[in-house]
Amino acid sequence: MILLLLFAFAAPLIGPEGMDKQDLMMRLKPPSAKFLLGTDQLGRSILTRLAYGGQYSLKVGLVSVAIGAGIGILVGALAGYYGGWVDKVLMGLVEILLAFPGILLAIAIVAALGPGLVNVMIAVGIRGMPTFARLVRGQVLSVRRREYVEAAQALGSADGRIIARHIFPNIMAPVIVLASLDIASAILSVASLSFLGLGSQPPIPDWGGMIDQGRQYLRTAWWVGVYPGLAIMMTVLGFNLLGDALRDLLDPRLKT
Amino acid sequence: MLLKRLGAGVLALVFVAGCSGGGSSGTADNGGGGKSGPVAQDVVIANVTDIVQFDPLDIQDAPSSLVAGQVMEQLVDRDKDGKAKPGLAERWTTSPDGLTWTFELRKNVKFHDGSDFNADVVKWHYDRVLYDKAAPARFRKQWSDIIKEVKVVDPYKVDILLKAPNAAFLDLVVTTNGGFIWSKASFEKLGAKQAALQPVGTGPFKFKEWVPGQKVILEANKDYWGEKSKLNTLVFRPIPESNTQVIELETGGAHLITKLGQEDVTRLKQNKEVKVETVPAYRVRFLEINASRPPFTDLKVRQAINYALDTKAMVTSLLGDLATPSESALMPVASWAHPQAGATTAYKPDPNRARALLAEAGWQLEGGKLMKDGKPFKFTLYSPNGRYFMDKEIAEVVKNQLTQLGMQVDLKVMEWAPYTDLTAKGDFDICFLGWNQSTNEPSIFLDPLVKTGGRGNYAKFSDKELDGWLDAAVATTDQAKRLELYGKAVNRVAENAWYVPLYNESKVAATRVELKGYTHTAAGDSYDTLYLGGKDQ
Amino acid sequence: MLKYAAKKLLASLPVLLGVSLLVFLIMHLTPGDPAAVILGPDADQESVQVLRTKLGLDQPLPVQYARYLGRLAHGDLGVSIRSNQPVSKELGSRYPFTMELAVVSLVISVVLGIGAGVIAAVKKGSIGDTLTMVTALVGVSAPSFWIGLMLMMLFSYYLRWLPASGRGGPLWTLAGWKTILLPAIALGLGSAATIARMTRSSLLEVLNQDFIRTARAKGLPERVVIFRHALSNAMIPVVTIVGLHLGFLLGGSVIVEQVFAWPGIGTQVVTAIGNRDFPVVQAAVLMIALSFVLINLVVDMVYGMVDPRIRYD
Repeated sequence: MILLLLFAFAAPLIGPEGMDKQDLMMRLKPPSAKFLLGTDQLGRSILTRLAYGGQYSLKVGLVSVAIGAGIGILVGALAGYYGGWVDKVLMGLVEILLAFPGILLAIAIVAALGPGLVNVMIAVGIRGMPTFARLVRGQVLSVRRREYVEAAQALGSADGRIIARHIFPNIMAPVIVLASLDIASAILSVASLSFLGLGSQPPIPDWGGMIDQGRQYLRTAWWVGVYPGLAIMMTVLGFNLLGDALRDLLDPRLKT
Repeated sequence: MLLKRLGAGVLALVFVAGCSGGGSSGTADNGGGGKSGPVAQDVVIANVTDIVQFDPLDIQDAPSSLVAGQVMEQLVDRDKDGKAKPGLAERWTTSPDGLTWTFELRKNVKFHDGSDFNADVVKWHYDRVLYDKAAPARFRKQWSDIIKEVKVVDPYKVDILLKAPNAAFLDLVVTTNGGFIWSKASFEKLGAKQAALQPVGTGPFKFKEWVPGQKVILEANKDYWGEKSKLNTLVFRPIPESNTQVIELETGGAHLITKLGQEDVTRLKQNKEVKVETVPAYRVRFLEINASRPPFTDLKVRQAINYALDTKAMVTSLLGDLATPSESALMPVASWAHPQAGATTAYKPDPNRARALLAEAGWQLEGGKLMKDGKPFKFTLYSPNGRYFMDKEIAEVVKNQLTQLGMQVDLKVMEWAPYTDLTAKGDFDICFLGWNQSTNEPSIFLDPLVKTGGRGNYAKFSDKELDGWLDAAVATTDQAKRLELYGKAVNRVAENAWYVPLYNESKVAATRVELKGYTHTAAGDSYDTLYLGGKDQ
Repeated sequence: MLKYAAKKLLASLPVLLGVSLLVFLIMHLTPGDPAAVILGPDADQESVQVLRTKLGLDQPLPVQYARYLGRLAHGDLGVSIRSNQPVSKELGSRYPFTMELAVVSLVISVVLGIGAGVIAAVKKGSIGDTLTMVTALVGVSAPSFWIGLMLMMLFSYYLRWLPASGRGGPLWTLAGWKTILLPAIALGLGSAATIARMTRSSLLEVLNQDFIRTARAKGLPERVVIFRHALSNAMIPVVTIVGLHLGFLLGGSVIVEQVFAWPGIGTQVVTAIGNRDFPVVQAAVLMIALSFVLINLVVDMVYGMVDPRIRYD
């Protein structure tokens, strides 16, 4: 993980000329001392692009999970805390979103909004939202009846204050675990979208898009398509391990 | 080396590498491995997507058109240079005033359902386009503007009367998809919807079966009026990815593929089991500059962009054999009206000239950025993704080269549907576009793209003098006069500089060596001469 | 139990209605005019307008949606804008292939996953355990389309063992098996990994429980202890995850089908989104969502069968 972060943030050092330094005379050159991982179809250093792509992946992963978790927590907390029709309506909406398997919802949303950084984050965020909502609702339900919450209610504290002060601190552990695991699947979703041509705009070197472009060179210049795949794998692996570790640390009872 | 399956019943994954002397015996598709004796004449062709439907008036996609062209025929066919040759009409004449086209039909031609091909069917077909409100309307307006009436003279003679003389009549009507003539009997029996799924034509192949998403199977028409195909079946498989097409070709899963990148073309040329051919197609690719939007209202700015881009270098390095750098933005290189090198105002890459022109137009470099009246030179460049060869990559290079001049270029790569929407409305600064036709008639390129109100003139540029030349060129059949007019027109387009020529796309085909009798042409492909032979080249 | 199923099914109706509305809205708010796409870039505005009227696209959205629902109630999924053929016919011919792919990859992932999980749990702490679990982690971490490409290069291109694309035939033919193997593995590897990890942890937990100790103490052979007693108990959480994964695999097939030119609904959805062929997209997503809901229902039932503690009421 640390290596990955270092790699991504060192991007300007690895490729000081930036991610879009083209040289048509140097197209599709194999890995060499000058270009450690070779060059792509426009003669750009793959190493440099992977590093910048790492920044992008991390950013998109984090932001989209933040979106998904933010909305999910809000929805879950409201539903769990108030119960009744609020619960019914909100969880009904969540059910609807959950009926879309996997990536399909994200594809539809990006198709509607158009490709691009922000839209991808929104789409991938919404994809992850229902899981957070469900988790938080369940947690809130179990915490709500505890004495300190009822005590706060009896003292006439405002609902928002109770939720923020008394409930959230007690349910954050599983949410953090879920978030770290969800970053992994968010990065995979973003890669899938880019692979389908629904990702960011060039010249942002997002990894899924690099694989998409690299696949026609698999027989002639394998490095264009193989390294981005490895980069995705390592990153996702990193977040999965992080999630596992956090789970062991914070909440040994929780299981995938 | 081809891998051949040993008898069935053996567990999966048991294979024996065997050099198949007689070529690939079918593919994984028909599971017909293990045969010996003469080569099974079953040819598999990779199509880019699955077919959609076959109503000639509603065929909009190349894959359906390709398959339709094997099953159905037009009155007039095209030879490999794109010249008209007899099809279902044995000969045709034009009246001196240019208003009556008389087609003498081939006799003793039967549709695959056994019904006769004759003048009644031809009239029915054309009338369906012109008058049948239930029929797809794709061609109606265009054809109604040209055709006055279709008349049956005798059972094997048809007159088509025009509203005005039109040198491009064959190109605009007869040899389009809408010109495919299918069986009236079957149409009436099956109804329009069902007929569109099992087309009945007169062609060298009969439609047998369509397995959606998997294959379309045609079989040789044993009663064909022309030379009969030696094939047993002709199968079209939808394989969207070039990567997959190449693997299928090399492993014997397809005999002919048409979608492959430059690197694979170069590599496959070394492969003794495969032949690769390219031919310049009637497909032009260009950047369209929206001359109605500042800063592109200024001719000097448009010219500067033309000078700034080294499109030749982009095209040769990124596309190699797959494209020809173009002298003219809009005229296909294979057209008789394509200008000779140096005969027109072509822009040679010259960054200094570009800078000078920008300076003349008032744009000054300030801190690496082009500025005028305190505003930066900023615009959006639009490109589709994968619609044209290397479109996105070329757009990336264009952005890169223009950025080096100090312009701020925002590149937007879009999906095709919203892209056509946006470009057709003229809602762009600069966009990457293309124009495809099935013949090389100049007017079907220039008229829609540059005439005032032309349906492809998205930026709505208008040059009345140019319009006049183009009208005159269609109204005459005097070839020398037409050539002169189109020469002037092409030159004017370059002077106005609202198009940047990129390249002329080539049609590429890679075939297995055992596939014989294939002629690769710029016009539509016909497969009636194909057969499978030995592995000698 | 039947009553329970019926009740569940009824409860899922509003969900499906919501799905239909959501898809409808997403597709109709999407930029890109289907009429313009159909007629191509060289069409004139007049024809586009005529076609829009014909397709009912000039009506206000609520009217369009109401009409759509009305037709849906009659089992009419509409007519494809692009091919002018009934959507039910177009999707009906392809839907089974998506199911086929999803089910085969589920079987593969269950066999691989449970097998690996059991081995890892039984030989806990061994090199085999570590190796299996590392492989499993790598499996969940790699994108399916990339795995697909790598598999295709290795097994189709270099080794030439398996065809690269398409569907060779039904499952009971060799050609059919040969074509489904690679896409099914590419699709199922991620699920296999999850199932393996689940099986391992669940089995480890069960193996620590009293009744297993008793069984061992009675001198039963280890094989019997694990397969007869431990595994059946450890399977309860695994079954849930397996059911869920069938749904995920259905969704994931959208991408893998692209890579392998598999003739399923996924390739069709992606093309249809590109063409703004609303009726096809709506119907396809609705069908996938419906399958998903039904699968979950079945999982519920199976869950009850393996876990006698659950009662339906």
